[in-house]
Amino acid sequence: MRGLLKFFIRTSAFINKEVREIVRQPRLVLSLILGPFLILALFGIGYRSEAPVLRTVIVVPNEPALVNTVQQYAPSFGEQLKIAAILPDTQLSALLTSQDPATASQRQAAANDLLAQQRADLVASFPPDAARTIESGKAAPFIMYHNTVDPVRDQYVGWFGSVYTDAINRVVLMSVAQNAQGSTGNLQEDMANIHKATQDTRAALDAGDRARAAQSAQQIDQSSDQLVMALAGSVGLLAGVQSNIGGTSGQDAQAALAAAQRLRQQSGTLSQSLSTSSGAATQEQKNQLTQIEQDSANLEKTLATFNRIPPEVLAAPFANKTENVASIRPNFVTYYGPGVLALLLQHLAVTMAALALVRERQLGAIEVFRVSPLSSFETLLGKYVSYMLFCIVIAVALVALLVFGLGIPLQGGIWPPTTMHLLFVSLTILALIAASLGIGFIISALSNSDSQAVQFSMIVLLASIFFSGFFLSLDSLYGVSRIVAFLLPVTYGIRALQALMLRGQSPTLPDMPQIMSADVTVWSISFGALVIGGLVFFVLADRFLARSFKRA
Amino acid sequence: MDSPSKDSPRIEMRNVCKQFGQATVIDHVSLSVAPGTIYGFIGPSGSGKTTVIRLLTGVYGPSEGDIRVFDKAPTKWSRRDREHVGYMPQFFVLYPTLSISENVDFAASTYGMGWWSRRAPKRQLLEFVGLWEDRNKLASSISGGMQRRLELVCSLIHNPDLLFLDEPTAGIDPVLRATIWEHLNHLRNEKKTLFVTTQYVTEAEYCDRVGLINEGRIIADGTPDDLRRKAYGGQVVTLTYARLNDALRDRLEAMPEVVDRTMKFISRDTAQMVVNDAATAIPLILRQLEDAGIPMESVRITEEKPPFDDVFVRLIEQAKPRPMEPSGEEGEARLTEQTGEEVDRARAA
Repeated sequence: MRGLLKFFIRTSAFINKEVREIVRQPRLVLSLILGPFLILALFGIGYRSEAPVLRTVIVVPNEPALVNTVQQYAPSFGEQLKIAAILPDTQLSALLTSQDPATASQRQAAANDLLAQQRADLVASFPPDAARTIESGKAAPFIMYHNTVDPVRDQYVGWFGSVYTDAINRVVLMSVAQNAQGSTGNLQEDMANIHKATQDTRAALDAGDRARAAQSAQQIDQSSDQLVMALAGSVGLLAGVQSNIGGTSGQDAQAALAAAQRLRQQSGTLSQSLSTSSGAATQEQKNQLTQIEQDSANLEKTLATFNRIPPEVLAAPFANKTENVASIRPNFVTYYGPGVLALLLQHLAVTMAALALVRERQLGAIEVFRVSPLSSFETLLGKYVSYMLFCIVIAVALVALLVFGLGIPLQGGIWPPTTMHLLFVSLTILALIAASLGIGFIISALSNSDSQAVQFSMIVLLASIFFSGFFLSLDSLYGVSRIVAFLLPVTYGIRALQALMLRGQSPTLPDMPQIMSADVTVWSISFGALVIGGLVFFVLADRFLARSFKRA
Repeated sequence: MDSPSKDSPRIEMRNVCKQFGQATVIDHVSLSVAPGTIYGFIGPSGSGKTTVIRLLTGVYGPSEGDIRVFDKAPTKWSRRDREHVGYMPQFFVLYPTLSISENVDFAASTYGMGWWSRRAPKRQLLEFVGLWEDRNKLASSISGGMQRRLELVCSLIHNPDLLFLDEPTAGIDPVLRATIWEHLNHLRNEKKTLFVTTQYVTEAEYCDRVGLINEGRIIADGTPDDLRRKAYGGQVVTLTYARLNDALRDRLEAMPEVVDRTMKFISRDTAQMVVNDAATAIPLILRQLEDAGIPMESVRITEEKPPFDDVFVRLIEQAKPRPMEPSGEEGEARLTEQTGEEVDRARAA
């Protein structure tokens, strides 16, 4: 009992000392709380998440029609395209769109000159002989040049280029659709002829005039021949769309084409049977005529539908619309808030702990401790508890500032604590701090000087920024990077705090028994990893410190 | 702590060596410290004093030899054993952002002393070293002397029986050094055993027993008087007489109580000589002078206590190997190489 009491007294020696030392540095405490808050606030005020506008020089072959088309359609390509200049220059466009490797350096020099002269971000060039290239069965190259060393911007321009190209292709498709719709005027005429000839055939058959019926059926046959030929091209566009997305029954373009072909076949058969037979019309001939009437009616309806569809819809049948069903509407400050909190707490804990034992060693105190009855475990535990208390104070202040100052959501609310949500946020933060302190104490036990400890802490911070999923997705990390990511407490801290604060995912008390079963949430996994990591790091730190305490 | 017998040595080192790699830092050191005494461990910087303290406190284990502190190897000390030992390191290892009082509290807590049990000794010790009034000052804002006294308090707060003090007076002014030695004497009077290292050889005077260490080897071990006797080959007496001459020197040097050829002329009327025992030699010398017809009222003879700086230098010199010297003892015993004639010649010049 007496031994246990002394254990507590010895451990509390460090708690008292560390707390007093920290309290004597109010500026440090203030900067630790206000610093990150101000940075995040500035980030929220100053950061614009819109895609950057690209000043673009468009080089086109010197053909008035093409220049007009570009001038007409380019402004409709979106706000991110700002036209710096449209240069009609056939020779330059030929050079810039050339695929010849021998002219590569010449092309790059020309593009760089244009970017510099026009102070542009992008040079886009049309090929001078696009039609011939397409006729030869190849896609015409639409080439874009930019000069950046920023991989994100590089990716953005690449994406932007594909958007440009799609827009150009859409313009061409729209034109095709317009032409197709224009040709449906002739189709309407053919349909009217078929309709009239069908009525005449029916009247002649009803009147028992076989010769006139045969003549009218021949008229149907001729008109349906023309119809099928014209229809194959103009309804093809709609058929292409419907074959990809699935048309509605009886109205799709494929059915229309099939109906036209059937119409031709049956009208031919009817015409022939009426010409070669005699006497009254047979029931089969009447049925054939009925089928012809139905098919022509369907065809007429399909053509009317096709004509009603605007060409731009035919060229781009789908419009993009997204809807986020998350419980909060994300913005950058909101999303990064929990990440900043986790990153900051880890860095604070790692740095403080990293310096803690190094300073004792440099001061010579470890030697005094070695002579005294103190153990490495008591020393470590005392420092652990004191830094834990300090980090908790900082965490509470930071959470309050983030929630009330920057409006970062805390799903489940703070008061009244009916959902136990705040408890889980607190547990997460505690586990994160404990695991981070463990890393810091390991660094401290292995470092020989202040600067070495700070360097190691900075390396941990750098690794955390890159590998924790703070701003690069964990899904993009492979191999060793992924292992590093999963060794960092902040990786779990960010996931757990985002799950809790932004999504409100946490086990409620009645769910607790299910945590270890199938209903394992992101929070549960992350929290478990933090707890295990914290224990492992503590044991490792104690082992390393015990080496410093080893007597003889 | 096993309770050792009351008079058995608190510290005992027998043929202890300590090597770091190929370097031998401590070379066959043997010493013994009796309870309730101040053992002064004196040597120049880098001579191995701190290493010996680390060996005695169990921070290092010996490469060779045997160390017993409280009849137990320090490396085998239990926690309770350590509670009987106080250690004041060479450099200030207290916390500058804590006050004097808080530093003492921390030191006491590391020995498992709760608030109640440390309250009285804290006040008593801070008053003892004159820091009670300043107890709320931060350690960073007090003088170097106050810092040393604060460290002394921190090493004493748990009332240890044995105290290791590594250069407690290093870098502080002579007045404060004397004050600190006063405190140490006071502790000795309270029956505590103190093992004190110092670079200041004059501080040997404050110790009950002194060990001189140089280059990792003990070159002398004994009471301060023993060391003087060893350095000079006896005790030094000073003779003052207006008409000193070579004939008188020969007469005195012929006495068995006077060590051969050790008389030297300090000035025209003052000479020093080494005697086996000052208490018996002085009356005999006076009688010899009286027999020579010298009036006693014109003669003054006193026992001299040579400064420990000289004692230390002589002992260091003696410890050096002298392969070229034909017969060492005669030469070593002389106070100087000057004869009476040489002094006279020097005077004439």
